[in-house]
Amino acid sequence: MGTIDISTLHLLLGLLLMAVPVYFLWKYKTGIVRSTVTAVVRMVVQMFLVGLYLKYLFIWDNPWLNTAWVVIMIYVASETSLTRTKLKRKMMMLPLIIGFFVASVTIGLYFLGVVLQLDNVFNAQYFIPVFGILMGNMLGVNVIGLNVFYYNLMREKNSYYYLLGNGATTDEATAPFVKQALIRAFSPAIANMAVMGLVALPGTMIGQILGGSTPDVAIKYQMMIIVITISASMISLMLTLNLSKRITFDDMGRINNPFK
Amino acid sequence: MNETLYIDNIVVAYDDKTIIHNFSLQVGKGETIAVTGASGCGKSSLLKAILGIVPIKAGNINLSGMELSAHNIYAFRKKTAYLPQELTFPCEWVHEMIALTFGIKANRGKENRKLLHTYLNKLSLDSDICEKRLSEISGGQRQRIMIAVAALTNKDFILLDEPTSALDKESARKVLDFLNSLDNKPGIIAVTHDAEFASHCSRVVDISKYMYNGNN
Repeated sequence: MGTIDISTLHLLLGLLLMAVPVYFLWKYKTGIVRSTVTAVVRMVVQMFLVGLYLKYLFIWDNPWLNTAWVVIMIYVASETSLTRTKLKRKMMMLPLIIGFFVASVTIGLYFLGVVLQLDNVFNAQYFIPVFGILMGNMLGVNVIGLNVFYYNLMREKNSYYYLLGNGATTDEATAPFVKQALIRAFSPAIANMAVMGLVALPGTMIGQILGGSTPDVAIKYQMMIIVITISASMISLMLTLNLSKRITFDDMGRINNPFK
Repeated sequence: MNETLYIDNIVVAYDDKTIIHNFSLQVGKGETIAVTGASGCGKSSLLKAILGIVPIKAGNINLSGMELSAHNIYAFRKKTAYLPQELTFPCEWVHEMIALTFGIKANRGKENRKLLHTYLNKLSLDSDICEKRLSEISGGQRQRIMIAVAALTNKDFILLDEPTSALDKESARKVLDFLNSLDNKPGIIAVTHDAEFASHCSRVVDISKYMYNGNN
């Protein structure tokens, strides 16, 4: 059972459905019609480019090339995190890169090597999509987690200094803020996991079924994808937070403003 | 061990702006010092400087033979309790707010809970207040709870920033009586605008004359 291709004409017919949300956004003068249309155009262009380079990555299937692609993804994810959190580059860039790298490599290779038992873990068919989905999820969690942690810490600086002044170490005094960041960053994923298959059929599973896999294989991949994305996101966020704390706090525990 | 806090000729500055110039003070355990002065003269900054939260550009601070430095900052702060004037907590309940301080002291348990309730009662608070939401209690209640918690941590020195700012005269007097009645009484430095409160302290230090004006 193969996947039915979509011709350019029919793809355009499908894209026409965007007229419905655009109409209501225009009717209620939301002011985001232009950005919505721009987003659609960007999506189409970017996806065609992704399709093109993925096609060649799959044809060449070269471990060095695949690894280089992951390195580029880590850099782009780190840059995007900086832009979306408005945190200072000199304080956050290195912790972000290390967090993304360590989390994606350990979890990605564990999944490909230990769980899937691939002879060649760099096989593009598995390596590229697994690292891609890890990176996307880690990015979302890092942006929320870092934002919540540093925003709340700066807003409630007095309570941090209160704890410090009462004998807490920097790690102890920041623990309430780490807790808030973890709750905000992971609640959506945990809530989704709890209703998976009941309220919505998840993307990976649908993709696999459309691609020809049987449902019993698709559900196993779906479960694994959820687990590896949450695990990698946790490792990435905790590493980034802990490494960045070494830079954002001085040796007396004082906070250096991490925002631009 | 001589449990004394020595502040020797300190200069306190935020970046390039000097706040306090050449200030010295000696506080023994058991003493209660009121630090007074006009708004903005650096009273709160003095407490923060003692804790190493605000940098000192010159001079020394020494607590029970331990000099304030990056090398021993956490051991230094283990000997202090601190209550800032404005405090927002990253939690919802009073018992969570208390647990935050207890958590770092690791001295939870029945005995401390009992002592906390005794302290709360001495400060005219019902122990049921621990089960309320932070949004349900007044600023004065919050202030007294945190003073009880500061006392409970059993530190050598307590630094209080405007501890009676949300209290009426009677409650303010009760707070002072409570602090003075503590067993193994700590040294207390209280920044205050409350002349009545200050008049009942062992000493009053006016910090205004150490305010940096560009000439001193």
